[in-house]
Amino acid sequence: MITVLIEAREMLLKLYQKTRVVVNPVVKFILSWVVFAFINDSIGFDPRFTKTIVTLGLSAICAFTPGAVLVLCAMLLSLLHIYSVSIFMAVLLLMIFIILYGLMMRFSPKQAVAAVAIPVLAKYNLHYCVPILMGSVASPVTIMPTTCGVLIYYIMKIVKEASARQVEFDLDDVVQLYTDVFDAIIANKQMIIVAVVFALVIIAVWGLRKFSFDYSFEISIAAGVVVTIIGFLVADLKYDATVNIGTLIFMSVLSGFIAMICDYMKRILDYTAVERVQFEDDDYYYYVKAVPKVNISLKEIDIKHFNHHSRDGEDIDCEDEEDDGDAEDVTEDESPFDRLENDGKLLTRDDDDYVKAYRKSYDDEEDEKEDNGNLRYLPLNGDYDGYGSLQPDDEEDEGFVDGGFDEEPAPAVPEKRENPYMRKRNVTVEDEPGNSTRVFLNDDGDYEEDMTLDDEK
Amino acid sequence: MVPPEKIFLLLVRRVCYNLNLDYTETMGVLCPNVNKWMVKDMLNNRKIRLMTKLAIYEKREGREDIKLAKYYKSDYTRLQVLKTAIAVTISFLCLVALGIIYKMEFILNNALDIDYALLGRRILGIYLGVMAVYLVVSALCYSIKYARSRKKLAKYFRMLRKLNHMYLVEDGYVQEDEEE
Repeated sequence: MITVLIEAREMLLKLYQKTRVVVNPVVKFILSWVVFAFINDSIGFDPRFTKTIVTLGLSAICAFTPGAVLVLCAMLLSLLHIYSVSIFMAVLLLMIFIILYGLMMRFSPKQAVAAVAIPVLAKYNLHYCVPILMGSVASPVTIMPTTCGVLIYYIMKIVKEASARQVEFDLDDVVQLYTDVFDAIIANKQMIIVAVVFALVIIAVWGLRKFSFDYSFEISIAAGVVVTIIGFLVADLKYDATVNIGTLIFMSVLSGFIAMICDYMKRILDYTAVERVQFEDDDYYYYVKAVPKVNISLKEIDIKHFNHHSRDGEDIDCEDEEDDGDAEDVTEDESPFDRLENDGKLLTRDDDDYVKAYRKSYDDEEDEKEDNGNLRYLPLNGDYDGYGSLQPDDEEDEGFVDGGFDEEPAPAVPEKRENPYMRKRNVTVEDEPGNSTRVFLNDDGDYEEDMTLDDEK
Repeated sequence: MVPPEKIFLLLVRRVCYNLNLDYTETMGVLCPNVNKWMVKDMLNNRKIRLMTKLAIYEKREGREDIKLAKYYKSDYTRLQVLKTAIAVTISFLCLVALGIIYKMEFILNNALDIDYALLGRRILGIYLGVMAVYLVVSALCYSIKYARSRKKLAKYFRMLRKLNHMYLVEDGYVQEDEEE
């Protein structure tokens, strides 16, 4: 059963890799269509803009542009609809949009879609999944667009009711209309409660996600669901907000599952994305299609990790141990690289399985050939200068940087600075006695040739 | 002028590609005496791999990083803070306008009794408070963002230097095992 599932997943991934160029815009097109259809459905006052051709055109634009354009189009469409019934409400709405943009939305344009997603999903009571998803894929800045979405949802409701009222061009009437709308907005406690609970959910999910204990991903999403339920229940008891408890619990759990699936898919799709790039050198134009190896996925990689070292890297032996083929030296030193576990068995360099354990996944023969004989080192101890390499060292670089790199020159002996390689797991590969090479396994589970090494020699 | 042996190699490569043969092996069979270096020189796999990595970076997150690299840190932060200040000011003006409309009836009824100086001071106070919060937070966030992009760029430049070294080796200016 499991094998069938895994095969199906790999097939789907391969299919996606092939058709990615088509699939992405189509998915975006469908999502945009849903958003515009929702707007037309709920506030479609102007028959000119509810026509299929308009929706089609807008969706087509949004299919090929970033998510922020979708938000802009949705705002414009709703403004136009409101404008056709009540010019005063349209002015009010425009000002509200400006305020929301200036104070909140502009800080995270990439996640601005949340502001649209919440009103749309709220129709089906699925808006609980938005903060969970935001917390798990992004940072707490997404509190802002999420809050925007909540505000827009409730304000649109009020505005929709108000714009149905017939208003003469009479100051008293207009002022009365505005006053009523403001009163309704200010009196709407539920809006504030939902916004606060969603913010808490984002913080909870994000905070737990940051830790690296086992199952932190699943636990953070479960915590998001729990915070949602408890938050709304407390709000219900304290502020008498009208929440249907059964629906709330069911929908929160469902949202948790949806968020989990979305998140999982996103990670897989990001990892397997095929890249098409082109570049040239003196002799050739290169049109390269870089296809990640799907079957070496996170879970199935054979390589064994050890020495999962801490951030400050104090436990890493990085002295100049020249590999001179002296086996005694190596074993006596007990460097952390010298042994590794395989299926619970501790292997040392003397074991035959030691080589096999690494050989399994080290399949890039080209690299292996070229790297043999060069013992490579990590620049792990303090003297790595994370900025020094930015100094333009010839004309080509200077043209590129345009304006220089470092404002203040890096100190000669920098204090403890976070090393970009700290989080990588490193592994020694030995194919013949006395001939070893270090490769890096980055967080995505694929190899990384360490580019720093030659610099730092 | 392309040397004839290069044209020959290109032709063989093309044929190998079409017949799905291994190029290096085929060359080994066709002309065993050919300098291995020459065969390898045609397409340097390590170089292509490196260039692909660079191109992918430039295409994705690198675009933003390279844009940021055109500013000094202080310039970038100041520019973003300025933008934030403008956005906050416009939003605040809108808020004040909405507030005035909301209290329009009260204002019209008590137009003569309102202490405008006090009101103005209060509004100004709130404005400055909000502005201060936004400026501090945005200055912090944008400088963190800048530092992060710098870190990624550092790796990018290391790769560029490595590529440069490869070119030097290829052109014979340095030996392969020589330091950069």
